[in-house]
Amino acid sequence: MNDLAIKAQGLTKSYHMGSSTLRVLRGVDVQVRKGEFAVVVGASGSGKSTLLHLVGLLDKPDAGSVWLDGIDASKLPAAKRNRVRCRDVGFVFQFYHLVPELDIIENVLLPVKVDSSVLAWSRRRGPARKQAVEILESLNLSHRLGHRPRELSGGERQRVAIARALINNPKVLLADEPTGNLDSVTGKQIISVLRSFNQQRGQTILMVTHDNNLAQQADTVFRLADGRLGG
Amino acid sequence: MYKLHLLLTYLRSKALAILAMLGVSACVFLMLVSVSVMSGFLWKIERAAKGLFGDVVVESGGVTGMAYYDEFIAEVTKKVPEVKAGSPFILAYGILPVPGTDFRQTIQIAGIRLPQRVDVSDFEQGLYFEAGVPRPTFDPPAKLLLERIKQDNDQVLLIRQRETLKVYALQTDRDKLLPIQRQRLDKLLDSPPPVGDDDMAWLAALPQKTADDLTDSQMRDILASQAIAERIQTTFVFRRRAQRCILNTQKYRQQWTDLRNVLAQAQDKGPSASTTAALSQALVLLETLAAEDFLRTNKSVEAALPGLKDELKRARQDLPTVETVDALDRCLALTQEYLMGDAAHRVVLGLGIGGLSFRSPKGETIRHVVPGNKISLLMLPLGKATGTSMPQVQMADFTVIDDNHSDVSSIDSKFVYIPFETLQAMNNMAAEYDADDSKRVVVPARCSQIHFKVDIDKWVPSARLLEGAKGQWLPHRYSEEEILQDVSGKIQELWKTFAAEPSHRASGEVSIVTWRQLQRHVIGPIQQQRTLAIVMNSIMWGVSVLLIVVILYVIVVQKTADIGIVKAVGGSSWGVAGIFFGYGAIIGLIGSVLGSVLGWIFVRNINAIQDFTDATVGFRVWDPETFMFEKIPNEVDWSAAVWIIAGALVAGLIGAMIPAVRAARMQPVEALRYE
Repeated sequence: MNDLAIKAQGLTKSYHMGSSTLRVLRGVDVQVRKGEFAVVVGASGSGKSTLLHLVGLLDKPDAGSVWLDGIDASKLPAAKRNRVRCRDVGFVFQFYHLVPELDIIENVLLPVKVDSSVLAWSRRRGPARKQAVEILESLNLSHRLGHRPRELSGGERQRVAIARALINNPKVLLADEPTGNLDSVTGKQIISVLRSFNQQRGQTILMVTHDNNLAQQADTVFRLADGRLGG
Repeated sequence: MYKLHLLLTYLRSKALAILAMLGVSACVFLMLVSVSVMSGFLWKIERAAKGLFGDVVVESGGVTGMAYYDEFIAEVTKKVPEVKAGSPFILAYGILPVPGTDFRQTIQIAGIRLPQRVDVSDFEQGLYFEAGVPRPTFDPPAKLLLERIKQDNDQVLLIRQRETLKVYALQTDRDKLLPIQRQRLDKLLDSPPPVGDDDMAWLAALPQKTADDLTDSQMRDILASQAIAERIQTTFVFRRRAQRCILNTQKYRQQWTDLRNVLAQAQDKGPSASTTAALSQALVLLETLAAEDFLRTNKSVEAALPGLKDELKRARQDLPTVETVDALDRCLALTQEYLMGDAAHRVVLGLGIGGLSFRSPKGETIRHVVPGNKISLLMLPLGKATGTSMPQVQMADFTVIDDNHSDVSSIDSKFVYIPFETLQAMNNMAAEYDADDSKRVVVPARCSQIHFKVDIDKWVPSARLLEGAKGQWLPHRYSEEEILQDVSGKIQELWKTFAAEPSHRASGEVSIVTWRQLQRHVIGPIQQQRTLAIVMNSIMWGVSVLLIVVILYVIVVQKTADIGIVKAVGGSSWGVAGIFFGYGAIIGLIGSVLGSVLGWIFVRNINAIQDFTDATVGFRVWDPETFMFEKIPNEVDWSAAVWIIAGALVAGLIGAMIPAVRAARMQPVEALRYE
């Protein structure tokens, strides 16, 4: 159990739309070891993103539990869930989700600011900025630090989103279709970036995608269909 | 940290935030300006009302008035240490035919004692011709009046010249002028008045545009200026008559009095050269008088003159007798009737009675009637119960000696002030004596009100007030009104004892009130107007809340994805709400500070701004032709400002509440899906 970064057990989730109920997940179990690059593959609407949101504590399951690094996160109060989400989980979204008013470095530093009071920030500011610059350099974005997201290409934006996800050295990085909005060349570059972080730093990654080709690069592949995991 | 960072980022980058701040500042600005102007207006009215009637007023319950007023004033000033002075007052209703017209004005006639009146009121501060005289009377020195009338004439002539120059500026056809003429014209129009007669004549001779060459607004301006110049011209008919009246009074009254004294002495000592000379002088004077226009046209004077002449001639040949002195007395009486009259028949007019003066568009007062002019007053005496018979209308002529403005339009446009004892007699309020014993008073003299002046600094709380304050925990700071009410209570107590004395049985029913209570009909509507202004502005305040709600709501909707991002990286619900709360508070704060500063600048310069708009586009909100104040009140009401600023802050917070709560409740997954 201690070598598991993510353990999800019996996750079910339904959405109510008027009188009808859409059962998205019907008891899903997922286990990802520390340092593993796991991928969830499934068709559109199969519940991949929902699974990722439940694992990343962005949403609550109707039933089932999520353990992150051995801690039952589903039983934590809201404030602690926020903290876990901030420190232990990094998110990369299909649509990047950068704050348009902030420049690149400010976007990357956002999770550090969320985790800091005004006083703490004055202490952390220097080291955090240094780390952000290092990550951005490793992602070949050192020339873009003062730019706004709208001035960047899709691939660059997604790399900024990866930098933001990694700034707090999270235990797990969750990527929701990170290449879904990119052309195939750029998509491959993003996957290789993720892969290199996984291989060089031992970063645990859980990625969802509908692209079977991308899944081939993963250590473990979960196939999701009709709300259940296949082989 | 992220809250502050995002808050500042949103404030910097959002045009909507600037719009909301401007909205709030506009509300604060409008509220501050309107409340300050209304408060200033109210303050002026209150001060004026207080200045008119003293601090505490003893008012008679019925129209017949109260008796033994002088005794009661003496009693109060002796026994109530806070009371500085008291003065009786009579109020009656009458009609004033406007001189030179067929119009009549209904008026209120106030009987006052001068100069004692100034001990209880600010009456002297509102006088125009006797301005600066600390203790004015109904018989001011002729020299002073003549000097002030001349000063006023000069001022009024300048206004006429200004208006005439305006006409020339618009009407002169510059195209037909030689360059040198144009230069002289510009120089004359730009130079400060007065412009010399030669120059005015030169201007009048210049070629003029035809009506077709003038625009409608130019035509309107020309007609308006011409009308003012013409009205001023007509006032000089009255002004010249008034000046002659004062001059003649100066001339004849002293001479008749001197002659009368010489002859009265001659009666005892026998005739002498000086008596004969005095009689010759009297005859010359009578001849001069007979030649005066105003005496020649009067039939009764015409009839009396030959008899008087004969008597003076006879006395010159024989001996001056009692008849001679009597003849000179009649001469004096005749003169007085057509000169300024005796000191009992003088009147101070309220400045603002229709037809007696008018105001220029710039707010200058131009008087038709000046000291020396005469007016008639008609009144129905109500001072005595007359049984079944109807009271007879009283009419008397009065010579104007001044006008008074209190800044309360309803008072200035209605009041005239005449000597107390004169009105007392006209209103059947004078004492009546026994037919057999002329010293025995049958009905005592009466007045309508007594006005008392209170020295607040000398106030000692009454036993009743101290008793009432016993149960209170905190010491109470008494307002001026509360102090005056306490003093009123003391005067009331004294009245009870005073009226109960057998010698004062006929003193009548009274009510004792403070000036504020007495003037509630004047102050009340203004207070209501101010309340109305506050209510209207509160509606605007509500609109500003709505504005902030809408703007913040729009921002929250626009920022839904951001909210999702912040929550996805660990931001709490209350943290996100805090961003929008702070946003609303800062909008409220900056908006209210901006609005207050702008409001302060506007209120302080409100008159200059109005003059500017008047000069450039001809727009005036505060028309000095209508309002009695020439200037708009320009003091900021800071006590109200504190509430207005606090209100704007609360508006910002309330406005932010709904969007902030929405942002807090938003699920991160939903927010992230929002694009």
